[in-house]
Amino acid sequence: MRKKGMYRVFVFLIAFVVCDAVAGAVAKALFYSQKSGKYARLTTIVKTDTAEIIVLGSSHVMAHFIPAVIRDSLHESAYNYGANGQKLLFARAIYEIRKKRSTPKMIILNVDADWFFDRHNQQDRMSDLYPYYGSDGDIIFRDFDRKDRLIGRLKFLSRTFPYNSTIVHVIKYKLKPQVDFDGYEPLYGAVDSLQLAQALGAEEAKTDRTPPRPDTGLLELFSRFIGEIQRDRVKLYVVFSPELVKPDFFEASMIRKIKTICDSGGVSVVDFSGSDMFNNHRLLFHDFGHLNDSGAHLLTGMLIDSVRLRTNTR
Amino acid sequence: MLFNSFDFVFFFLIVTTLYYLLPFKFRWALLLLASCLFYMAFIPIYIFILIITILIDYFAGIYIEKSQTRLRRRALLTVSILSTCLVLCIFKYYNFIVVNYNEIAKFLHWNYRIGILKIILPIGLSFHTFQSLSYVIEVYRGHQKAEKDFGIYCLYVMYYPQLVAGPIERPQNLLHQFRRDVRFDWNVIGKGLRLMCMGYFMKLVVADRCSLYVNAVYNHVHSHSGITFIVATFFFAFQIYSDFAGYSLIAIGASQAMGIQLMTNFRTPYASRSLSEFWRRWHISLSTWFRDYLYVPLGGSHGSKLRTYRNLMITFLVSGLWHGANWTYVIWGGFHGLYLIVENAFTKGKKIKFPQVWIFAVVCFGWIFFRANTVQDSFFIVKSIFTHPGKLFIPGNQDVTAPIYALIGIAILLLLENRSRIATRLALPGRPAFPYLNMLFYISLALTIIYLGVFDGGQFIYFQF
Repeated sequence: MRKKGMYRVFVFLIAFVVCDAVAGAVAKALFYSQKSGKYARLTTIVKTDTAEIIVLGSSHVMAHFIPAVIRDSLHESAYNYGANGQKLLFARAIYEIRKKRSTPKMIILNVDADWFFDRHNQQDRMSDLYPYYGSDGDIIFRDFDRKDRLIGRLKFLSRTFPYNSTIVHVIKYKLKPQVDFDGYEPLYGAVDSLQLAQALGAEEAKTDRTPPRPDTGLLELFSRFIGEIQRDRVKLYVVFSPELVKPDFFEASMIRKIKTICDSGGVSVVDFSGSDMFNNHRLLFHDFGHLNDSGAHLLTGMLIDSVRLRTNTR
Repeated sequence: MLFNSFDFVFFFLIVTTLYYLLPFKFRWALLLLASCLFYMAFIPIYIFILIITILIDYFAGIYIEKSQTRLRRRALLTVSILSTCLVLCIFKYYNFIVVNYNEIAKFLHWNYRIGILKIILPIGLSFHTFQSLSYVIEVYRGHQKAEKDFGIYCLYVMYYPQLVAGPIERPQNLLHQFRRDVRFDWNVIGKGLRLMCMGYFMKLVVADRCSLYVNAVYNHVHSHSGITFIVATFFFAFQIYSDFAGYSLIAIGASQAMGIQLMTNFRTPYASRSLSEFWRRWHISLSTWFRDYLYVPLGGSHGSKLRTYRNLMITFLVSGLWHGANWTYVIWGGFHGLYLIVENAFTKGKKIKFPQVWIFAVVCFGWIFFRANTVQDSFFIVKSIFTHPGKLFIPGNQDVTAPIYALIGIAILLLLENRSRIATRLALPGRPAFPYLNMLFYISLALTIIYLGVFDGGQFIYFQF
């Protein structure tokens, strides 16, 4: 009975390894067959792109900064390296990966106030880079906690795991290819006036004045990151994107904190978060945090003016 | 130590291996030690709360059994219940009571305010409190002999697979199993692992996928409108089911692998044709607990209709409060109680078209109150559903992939849960005749988890209760 049981466990393990290898190979082939969409863009960024100006950040970057406008105005190639839900760890990893090929001339780093909280969540979001574990595994896991680094790597014993949660993207962009605007993803439509009124009302009702307590490790990592960029002699602009509703106490406190770090590192900061050009202008916003295409054109133009001004005055 | 963490996988493998390696007489000690470590992985100091509950009910059980007079037995039971519940009240309901008192004081312009306690709720407190209570009540009723072996009793309350989120076991089902010498058997282990595999599928592929959309909507209610709330509530219905039923299956499977059987906690509840049937299929260990220890002692359905309805309402209001110290849960419980009364009074015996769809919709309506962060939020959601449909929110810059993964997970879940019914319809054999086909099925399930699962170690919803 025991022998039979052992035999079945053995067969199970062998069958599992074989099935996993086959499924992994199929998933890999499907993954790299993508010609457009999130992962095709990410593959370009990780494997081939050599743009001179790169924009790093979260979904704000994807929707707010138009590489074509930057390229035409500053006469340098540009690419938008933003990705949905990504924060500091991703920005730092993607810069390191890019540096393996060539160093860009300028980086526009769009920082959000929530970049300095919940390190674990940021680590989880790094899964976007798992398909490239084979070539860039060390960089991907470099900023992870020691235990998470160890366990994270353990998952890669499976051949299928690196392509976890990629199949819907593959199908989606095969069925409906997306035009790539060098990483810029335009959004359309405007925020409902009723929703804006409700959000403004909720904002006014906020009374919480508890100072934010960011992760000091992430703040140090940010200091190190901007220091590294400067040591690489890359022009760096830290940008705060505009929002439909003015930053609340929490966000404003964080922005001040980040600005202090940038000032001490001698980094230029361009802050649009409290700009009257954007605050409460619902027609420029797709939702509360993201500009629509018109808003993105306005913002990119303003950013370029700011960059030009700072370059000329230096 | 969450069930969906690698820590737990290692823990489970080590404990199960040692369990079979050790001689029978040491196994209870191993399980008790493992259970202590498991509990202390959350907040170590809280083990003392558990010990207090254990001590109270252990001695209460013994003295109740020894007592000759009914009055003395009843007094001991009352003391035991009150002191066990006092622990629960301090940690779970103290702040709730104080906040409400302060609100009333503010309204009445009283100057006396009470400060709240800054404490974290011990994990699974409501579960092991109820399990402990069921022991004392069963001893009092004479259905269970008082456990003299303190170690075994500790294990009954602390048994790690069901310590933090049930199933809430009865002493008659569990205690004797700790005294049974379980022989190593691959079939027993295989059965346990298969249950765990299904549990992980439900948690990682369905629940955690749905939670991405649900949290994005329910945590920012003022940014969304009616259609979005309907979709989010639909996802929440599957999130909470898969999260909790998934947890239960992992717990039952982990225990089964050691030859100890725990009670079934869910039986496809969304296939129910009435709300009373839903409660016979949903969180069975809790609903039977309330039936046996609250509803029936209150009089149950014996007596006038009005009395039955009163008993139903009390049971569901308490059940709501058990879930959390928030009025949203009380409203949720009240809503279910009210609907059951209506169902009993008006729709019994009457045919409703598409009863499963109707009951699913009713349950979903209840979930709005259960999931909403505040009462105000829940009423805002209900109002928006009926007055402001708006446009559907797609998270991550209109990236439909997250909701699609959730839908894929739900579709696979429904297929898996109905596989024997589908096999019957298609005249296929329910269980594969060829044993390796079954193996292939579980390999596919495991690969589905690896390929489609969410691996960020999301918390189980019921841990907070």
